[in-house]
Amino acid sequence: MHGRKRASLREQLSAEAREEKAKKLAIYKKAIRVALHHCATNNREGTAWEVNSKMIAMNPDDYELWNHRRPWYLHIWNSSPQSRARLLAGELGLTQMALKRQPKSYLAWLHRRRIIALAFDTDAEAAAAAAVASEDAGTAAAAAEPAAGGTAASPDADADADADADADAEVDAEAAASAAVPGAAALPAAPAAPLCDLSAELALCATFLELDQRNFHCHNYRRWLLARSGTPPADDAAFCEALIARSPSNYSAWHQRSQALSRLAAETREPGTPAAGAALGLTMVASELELVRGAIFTEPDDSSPWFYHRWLLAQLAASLGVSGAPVPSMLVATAAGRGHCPADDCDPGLAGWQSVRAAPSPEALPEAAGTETDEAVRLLRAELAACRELRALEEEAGAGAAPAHLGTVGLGPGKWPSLAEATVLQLLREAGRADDADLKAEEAAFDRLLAVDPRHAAFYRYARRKGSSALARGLMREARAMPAGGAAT
Amino acid sequence: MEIDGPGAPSGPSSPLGWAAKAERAYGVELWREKHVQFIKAVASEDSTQSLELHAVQYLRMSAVYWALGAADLVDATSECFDRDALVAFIRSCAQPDGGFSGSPGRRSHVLYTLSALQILAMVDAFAEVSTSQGELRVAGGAPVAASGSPSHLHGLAEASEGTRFFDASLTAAYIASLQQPDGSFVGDLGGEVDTRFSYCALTACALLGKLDAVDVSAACDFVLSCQNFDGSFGATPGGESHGGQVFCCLGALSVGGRLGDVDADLVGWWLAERQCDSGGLNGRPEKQADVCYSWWDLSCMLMLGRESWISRSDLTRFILQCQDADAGGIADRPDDQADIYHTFFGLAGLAMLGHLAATGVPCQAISPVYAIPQRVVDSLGLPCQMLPPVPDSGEAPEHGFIRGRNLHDLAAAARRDVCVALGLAAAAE
Repeated sequence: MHGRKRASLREQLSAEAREEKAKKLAIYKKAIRVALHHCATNNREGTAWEVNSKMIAMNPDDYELWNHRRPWYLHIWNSSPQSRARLLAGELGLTQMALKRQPKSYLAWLHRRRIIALAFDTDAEAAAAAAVASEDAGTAAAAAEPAAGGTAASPDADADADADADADAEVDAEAAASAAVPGAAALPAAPAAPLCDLSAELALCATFLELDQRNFHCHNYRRWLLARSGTPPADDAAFCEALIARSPSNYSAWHQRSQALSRLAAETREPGTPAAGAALGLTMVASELELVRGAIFTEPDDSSPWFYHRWLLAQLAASLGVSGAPVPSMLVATAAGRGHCPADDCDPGLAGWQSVRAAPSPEALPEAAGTETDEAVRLLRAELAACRELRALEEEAGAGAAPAHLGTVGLGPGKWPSLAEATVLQLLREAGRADDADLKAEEAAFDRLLAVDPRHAAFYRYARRKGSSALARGLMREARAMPAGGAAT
Repeated sequence: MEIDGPGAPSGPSSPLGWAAKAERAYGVELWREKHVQFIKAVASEDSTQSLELHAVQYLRMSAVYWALGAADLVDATSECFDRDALVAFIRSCAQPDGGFSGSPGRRSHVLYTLSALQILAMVDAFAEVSTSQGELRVAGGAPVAASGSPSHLHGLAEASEGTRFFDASLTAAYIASLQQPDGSFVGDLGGEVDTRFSYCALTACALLGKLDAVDVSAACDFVLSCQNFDGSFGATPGGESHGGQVFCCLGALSVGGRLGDVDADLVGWWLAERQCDSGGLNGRPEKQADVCYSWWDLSCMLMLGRESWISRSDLTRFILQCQDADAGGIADRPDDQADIYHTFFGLAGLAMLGHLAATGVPCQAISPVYAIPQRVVDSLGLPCQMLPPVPDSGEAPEHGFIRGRNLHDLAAAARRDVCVALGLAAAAE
């Protein structure tokens, strides 16, 4: 029970309201009992389909209702190709109703993905469907198609009608109607082409994400659609950029952009070349740093772009060869000047980190790597300057505010730029590119962090001692391929 | 700082003294008795008597687990629960395929299979209700094929005799049947893939002592493939990082012996940044704090030995503020309606923060990996990896792995938190 105010629930209900509540409960109990009985007996006759649809629209999280429905619709799909278009329309309507009621329903999203997969790629999915249908055939009491239109009267009809009495009556009625699969007679034969349009689904996702930009179920579904439709990662990156432009605070969009760009970089990398240095390539890192800069100067206290910024710094660390990421040994050599790898610091997770550092091989260093190192240093210097500028602005703006040293409220100004500054300076030092002023600035950045963000003091002390590997390690260097089909699961 | 040992004499530094100090530091005490009454009411309620409860009947097994877990944390299990009734309920959810359902009349799901096994472990009933090696036959006399097709038969897997109603081998085989070629697990015959189910599957098999029934290595590889640019984990490869999924992934890796594959610093920092202005933890960046992340996030920080990277005292205060002063129980946020889910996870947070032990509340330690009492994890010798704690000073932690945290150490840390909070309060005056 999330976000329900205690006071509102403790108000005395009027006798009328209590009676209304009791009535609703009685209706629900009767309806769910009927629906579960259909599940238990695998009843596919009479109004069983309508009852199942209605209960799913009311409570899409009750997994048993889907357990009944799945083999049933697969059976219809498989055995009655001429019904497919109507079946598809009904299931899409049902899931849309369910998701309107419960936008975070895992099972409703799963069902939508399934039915789209089935419709989009009839050949591949038919095989999966056949497997399930045959598995199901042995236990099916009666594999009849549902009766037309939900018009048949049954003892359950009363319960169903009553269940509509609540505020969502229209929603339920619509769902039940749209989920009904009529008899096959009036329908054209199923076309060989896909029955659905994935771009329409992608557009629907965009609409859903306007209602809740952080709905990770919708993002997951969208990601699946991208893979399924073969949407180029550049298009996805542009979509994410638009989301970020609308709200730099949208962490889900930054996350998805990291996925899109990793994939883009993997595609553009010449086949056969090892992923040396920054996985994204320094050109892409540079343009991403620009994007982040726009966001952090808009909302310096919002953490979302800063996590992405850290990821970009880790890419630069890889270019310098000072990160704990699996950096090829040829680049490690460029970091020979640094002097900070206390072996006693290394937790079990650092095993790979140490072995990488133990393998410098200057002879193997190609000339290009030296250029990459210089470029990475140049980008780090630019970030340093930007963070200092931002911090100065923040300190100016926050000069009149109360000091936030009591630990219970807020932050002092300049936490995020200070943390980035500290990480950049550690990287420069470890790469042997720091001068005396840098060393002093690194100390000052950590002192500032301890003062403005005392809650995380223990972390800052740790990071200060450990060096850049506390934060500037790359992850997700290689874009993982989406499960190409992944349809039925 | 002086820390009381067990059995210290009553006085200013006795648990009672610390309870008073804590109340002064946080402005609110822990209402244990009210929570016990709340849990008792939940344990005895007829879940079919309100629409809200009836609509979540499908997860009744988990609700019972949360209630039992909450009772155990404040050492009130026998006061709140009738052991026989618990066992009978679980029996009513045992399915012919070896799994357990969320409530009678529904089919097996790995979520409820784990909850059922956790409950049986907590009330120490494994030995008396289970058998192994396929001795048990279900109603009708035919043995159920280990990975056989899901049956539409419902109700009990009737034991042939006595009180034994499930076969550990069959249950492990059911779980194994959910594993996919890529190492992931589906939750049930519905076929949804999620790292939540990886955690459930590995943990449940470990509880059965049959971890070798599944491909642990492939399971861990899949979990690691769900790691993101921020070091944390999502539900599937590419899924956004989320505190609840991080728990499932770290828990699975801990049980599977692969916690060392995680970048503990990066994940630990991401988790530490979940602390909001209110002191509470959220599940994702720029979301509201919620008491349940006092379990999901904090258990991860303990697994990684990095719980000192947040303000523990601010989190303690936040959880205490979410208590319902009238009816007992804990809500997601202050002034919201309490429920058993947040009551369990709020109390678990206070237990992991050492607050319960430090203030002399009758309590039990909970395992951050298995979400059951540490004593059960120890007595069953369950596989488990945690990293040694990183000291506040920033020094490097010890090498290797540990199996859990000592209640005395947690209490000592909580008393330091109280002093910090008192010092800050004094400084503010």
